[in-house]
Amino acid sequence: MPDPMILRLAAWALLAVVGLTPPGAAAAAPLDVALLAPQRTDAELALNRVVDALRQGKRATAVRELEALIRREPDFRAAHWLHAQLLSARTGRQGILPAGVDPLAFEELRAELHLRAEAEAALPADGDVPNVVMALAPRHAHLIVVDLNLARLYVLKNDDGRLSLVRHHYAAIGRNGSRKVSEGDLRTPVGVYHVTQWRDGRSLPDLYGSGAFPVDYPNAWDQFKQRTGYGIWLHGVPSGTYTRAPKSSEGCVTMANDDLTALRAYIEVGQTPVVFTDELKWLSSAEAQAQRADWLLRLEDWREAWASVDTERYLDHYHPEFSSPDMTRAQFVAHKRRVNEGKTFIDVEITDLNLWRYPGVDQPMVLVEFTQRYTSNNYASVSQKQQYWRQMADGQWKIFREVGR
Amino acid sequence: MFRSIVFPAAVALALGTGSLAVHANAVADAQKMMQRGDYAAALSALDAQLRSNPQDAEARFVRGLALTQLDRVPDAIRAFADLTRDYPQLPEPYNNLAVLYAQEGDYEKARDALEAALATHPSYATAHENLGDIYAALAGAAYNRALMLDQGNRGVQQKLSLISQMDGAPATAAAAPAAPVAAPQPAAQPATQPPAAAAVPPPAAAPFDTAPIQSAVNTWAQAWQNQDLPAYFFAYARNFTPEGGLSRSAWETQRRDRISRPETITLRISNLQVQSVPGGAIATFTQDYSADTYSDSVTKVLEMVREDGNWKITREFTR
Repeated sequence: MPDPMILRLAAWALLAVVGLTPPGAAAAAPLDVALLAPQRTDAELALNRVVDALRQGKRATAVRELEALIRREPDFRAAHWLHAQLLSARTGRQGILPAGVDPLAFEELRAELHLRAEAEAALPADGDVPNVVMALAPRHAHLIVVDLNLARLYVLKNDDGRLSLVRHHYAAIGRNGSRKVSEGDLRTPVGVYHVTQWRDGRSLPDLYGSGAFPVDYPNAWDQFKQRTGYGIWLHGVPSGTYTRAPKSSEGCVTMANDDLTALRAYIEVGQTPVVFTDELKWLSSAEAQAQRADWLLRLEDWREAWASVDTERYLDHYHPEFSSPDMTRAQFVAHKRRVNEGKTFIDVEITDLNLWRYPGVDQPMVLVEFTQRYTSNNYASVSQKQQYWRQMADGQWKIFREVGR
Repeated sequence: MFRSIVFPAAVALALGTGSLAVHANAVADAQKMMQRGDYAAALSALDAQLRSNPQDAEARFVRGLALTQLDRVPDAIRAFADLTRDYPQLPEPYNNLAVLYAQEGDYEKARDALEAALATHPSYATAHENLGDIYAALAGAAYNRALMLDQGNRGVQQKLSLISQMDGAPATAAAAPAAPVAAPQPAAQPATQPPAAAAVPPPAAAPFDTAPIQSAVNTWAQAWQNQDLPAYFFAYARNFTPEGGLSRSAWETQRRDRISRPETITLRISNLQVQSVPGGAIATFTQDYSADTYSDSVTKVLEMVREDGNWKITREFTR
């Protein structure tokens, strides 16, 4: 007996095309986003007040706010540096730096403040959606997106596919930046990952602070690209540290211990996707909806060709350089032709759909993830499927790789 | 060293009370005693004067100076703080309060006091000069904190100017500030004049705490044993110099390989000794290493510095 909650892709696609929300989301009233301001630590809010006061030329207010912040977070080195700069300016004298201190020693603190301010200025408008995700299944209650350029981690809440920003904070990355390729390159990977574990800081070395969320780098795509390395974690910072410099780790993403601990409320091990991207943009919900509708139609075309046992039209969706972990394109084509000969009917249902505009790739690529319920006259299965769609030179999208789980 | 020391030869004060002669004598006598360096006697004389005339602002002010000379800093702070409360329009007590706060290392309170002095007397040169020094000291301390350098070492020895006379004194506590009565300036300063306040003694060095270094060494050893490369490399300072002329990256590659290759590593540390050296510390210990098929025991030396608030290794060698 089919579960009434399982939605056929066809229904989704049509509703989206005519601008309606899918049935699953229809029950949820539009959220009053203004009432749901993203969660922040007091320290970040205080730093914002300092920056605002400086922009308005209110130096005394800025210093007062900054000193209150430093009393609360005495290990916030970037705040101390800003404080020192403001006090130096107040003397009207030169050469305030303590003897023997290299001014370059402050460069990473300056960079941290700069990135923090830049990220605050680039905050998305209410309802904006990160360009990495076009659809997110309701089973992922939250999504984490890390902007590796701006050193900022965003937590988005997923209300039946409707995303809203619930938290964001500073997060530092690998010493050599983004796009990890090999072990020891001191880079943070770019891609779509999942949290695999929670590790309490009390059972870890001091380096990891209040705890750690390991992610599943290298994922299936990384393995296909033969990327190496391991142990990419979201984690806290050592005692005596508030945050680490923007580029300071061996590839992990580090954040203030309070911020790391706050993530526990949102992260469900095995379920919460974590996207590391160095190409983050925020799309309006209209743009996002249009892209999503495009993809739902494209996917429905693939599903429908398969379910109609129209084997050649089905195979036409596969890229000339298609492969799966166990088959080349030629093997796959031969296999499908042979299998489909014995079918009198095929039914394919797709649920739990995620659509990722995959970050960090040289040619545009979309990762489609779903639960596939396959029924036919002589065989049935339920599987988790990942399809990597690539755009061809003529603009057509084809399935470049397919991985079953 | 103090930038400017002004001692009044005599200060005439307009007082609302009738005991002008008594006051003038008492304060002038006390000041003479202080010029001779007899601060205790000056203090007794001022205390006697204040018993009969508790609101004598000039006597209270000079008493604050005497207490400063006697190194009774908390009492001197109280004397000047009380004056700022009772006579908020007078800048000199604020200035001296600031100097004392600065001597105590409390630059923020010192700044607040000087700003209060300047609020009533915006052109008060000594307070401006002192405030510049305070800001420089605060900035220096903030730069050090930004680098997580030793907090115990204040480094900045302040040379702020204590004011030793009040230019104007209130007619009564409650009255509006009287037009400043120009005090007759001393014609010449005696060459042998004592300083207005004793030089600030340097802060006693904090006893060297070896616990954070021992803990850093243990964390390093544990990271090695656990084959936790990020934690292992985290133990090394940015300017760590590998032995034998190896480049940092060649060393990292070699360590990465040697630490990740064995199935298991066991590392024991014993006889750990930590010495304080200028700018850092040296940890010496016996290191028993065994991995798969190899084991050795060596005396290991780690030279360490504080970096970003953590003790990190700058050199590592065996002896």
